[in-house]
Amino acid sequence: MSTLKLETEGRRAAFAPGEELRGVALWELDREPKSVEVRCFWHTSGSCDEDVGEPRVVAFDAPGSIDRRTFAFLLPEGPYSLQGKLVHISWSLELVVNSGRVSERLDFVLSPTGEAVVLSEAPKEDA
Amino acid sequence: MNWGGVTFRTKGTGGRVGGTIFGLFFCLIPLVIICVLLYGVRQSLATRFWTETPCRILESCVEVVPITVEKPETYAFRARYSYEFGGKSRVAETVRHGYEPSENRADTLALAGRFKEGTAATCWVNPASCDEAVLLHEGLGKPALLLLVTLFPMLFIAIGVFVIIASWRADRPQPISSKAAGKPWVMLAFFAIFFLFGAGFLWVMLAHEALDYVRSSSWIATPCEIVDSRVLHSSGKNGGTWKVGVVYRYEFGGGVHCCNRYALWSAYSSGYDGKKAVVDRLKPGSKATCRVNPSDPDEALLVRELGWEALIALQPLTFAAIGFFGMRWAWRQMRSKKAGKGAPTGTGLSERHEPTGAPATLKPETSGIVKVLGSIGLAVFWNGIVSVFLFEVIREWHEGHSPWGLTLFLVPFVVIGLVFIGAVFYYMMALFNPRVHLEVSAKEVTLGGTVDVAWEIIGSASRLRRLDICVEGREQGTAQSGKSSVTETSVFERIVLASVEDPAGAREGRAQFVVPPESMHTFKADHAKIAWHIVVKGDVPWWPDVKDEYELTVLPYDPKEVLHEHAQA
Repeated sequence: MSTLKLETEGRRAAFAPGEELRGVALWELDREPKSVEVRCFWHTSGSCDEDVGEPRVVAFDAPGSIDRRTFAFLLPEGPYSLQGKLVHISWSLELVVNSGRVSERLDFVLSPTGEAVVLSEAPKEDA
Repeated sequence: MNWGGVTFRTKGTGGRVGGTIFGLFFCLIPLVIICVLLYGVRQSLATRFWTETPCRILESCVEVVPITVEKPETYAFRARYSYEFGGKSRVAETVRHGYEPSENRADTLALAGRFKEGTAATCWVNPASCDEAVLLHEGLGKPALLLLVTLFPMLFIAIGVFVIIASWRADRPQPISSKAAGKPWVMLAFFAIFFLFGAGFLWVMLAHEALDYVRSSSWIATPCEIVDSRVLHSSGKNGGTWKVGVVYRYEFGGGVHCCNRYALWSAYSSGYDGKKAVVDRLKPGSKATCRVNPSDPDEALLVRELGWEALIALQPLTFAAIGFFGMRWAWRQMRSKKAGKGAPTGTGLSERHEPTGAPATLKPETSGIVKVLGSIGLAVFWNGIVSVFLFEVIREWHEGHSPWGLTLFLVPFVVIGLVFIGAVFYYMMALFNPRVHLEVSAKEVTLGGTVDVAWEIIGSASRLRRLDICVEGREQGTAQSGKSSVTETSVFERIVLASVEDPAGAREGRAQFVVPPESMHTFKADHAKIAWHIVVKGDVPWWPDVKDEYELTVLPYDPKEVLHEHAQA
């Protein structure tokens, strides 16, 4: 039985562009893993096929089977977290063990306001 | 199945069996093809494993097979040789497995020189059948080519094996971030195969003629006499194809030579009448002028032009071009992925991109000329394919048959083709519309930024009944639905800049707008897009309307400013 956990500093769920996201990754595995890394990336959902941004990666050296490591990412200017009518953009951290055999995800919001941008349909032209 | 707190779904038996049958089917035919190819390789290399044995040449000669309209003069090396094997003297006549008479006289004479009557030589004897022997091995070119060809069916086997493995493996949910690593190299390999096949066929079909065309420019015009001529026929499904067959004799360098090459391009093609007219002109005994290769007087031709038939050889160029541009696209994808690695931004900007504050003249995203050319390309492509079947149907009706099934089947395709032709005329008419010249204070603006817009109508403004200019923010999502992809668009912001009822009276104007500060910046991914446009719509009575779009880039806030505001708050 394996346990994976990701936590951001102060359990924050929203960050501003350009801010440093700090956190801690904890895991308890049955055997010593070959690799453990935390990935930070955006991905889309909604009425579109999923797109995933190239992740930024923090890889941990010599991970133990039971371990606790800290990590930090300097967040980019965008894209902002979005709740559109068709497109949703989400930001996530993922703790990945052995190139994806086991993983854990933690979502967060990236935006200047601390909330995802919400887009609704504009009134029709004739209206 | 539970693994690390994550529950894995497993496929049902039906899915596994179905996947396995599908995978096996995918593997089976290529496997048979590979077996046949490998058998060919084995046959080509077999004599190399036979026993090397001394032999004596009893007889050797070169036989000349005379020229005809169908075949050039060929030379065959014949030999009889004796050898001792298994305690017994034996005689064999095989020169080489698959040996065929050659057009190359020099090579054949060289063989005769090498294996002169009465000389000692070496042959290779089949230990399993001692009476079977050869003087020469087959070249390595054929087995090498066969091995190369096996790569193609192996591709299908790999797909089949992948399907079988995938159908038996548990569906383990992958981390979302693992999906970011696209596989443009797969596309690169796919297009490389396209390119190699296209280029290969192009080489086979065209290179020889093209090289001869260049070479023959220095060949010498020489009077010749027609010995024989006829229209050669190759049977086929639709009555077959024809080509000109001719033998002519000429004097060159003090000797008399014969040749049967009519033109550079000597493939069979449709059109009997044209070939018959040529043959009627080239009656046996008549005089003509041929071009003779001064360095090899046996080589000549009557007509040096490539002819329109040579265009057929350009067909593989389409495949080669698709392959080439596809490879270029995949290569760029790979490079951009590499360059963007570690930059988790979807704006296409791995680092902060400051907006260019310079005023700019906007150009429509798709110009009128591009629309016309695009519609012509589409109409030609579609109708070109449909016309092949259409002509067949017309021919059948003409011959008194009643192909109702095919006729009804073709109707929707013909209608679509007509719509495409109509689109060509529509876009051509739209070229004569008045145009709107747009200038903006900046093409790139940050959220909350202000943009000044100035417009001017170029051309006959009186033809416009109404002109609307607005800014639109749109979100666009593309999703796979069955075999086709569906793109949906939703407008989330519309800012009216101008609604002109009498454009002739107001040929130019200015406006200003602010990008809503809490809106979304420009974002482009493979299946999702947030884009900002200035949209110009003009109503032209009894004529295609004006509709042009000009893209603006809306950038996110400068992170430094955001952090500064947060700190102050």
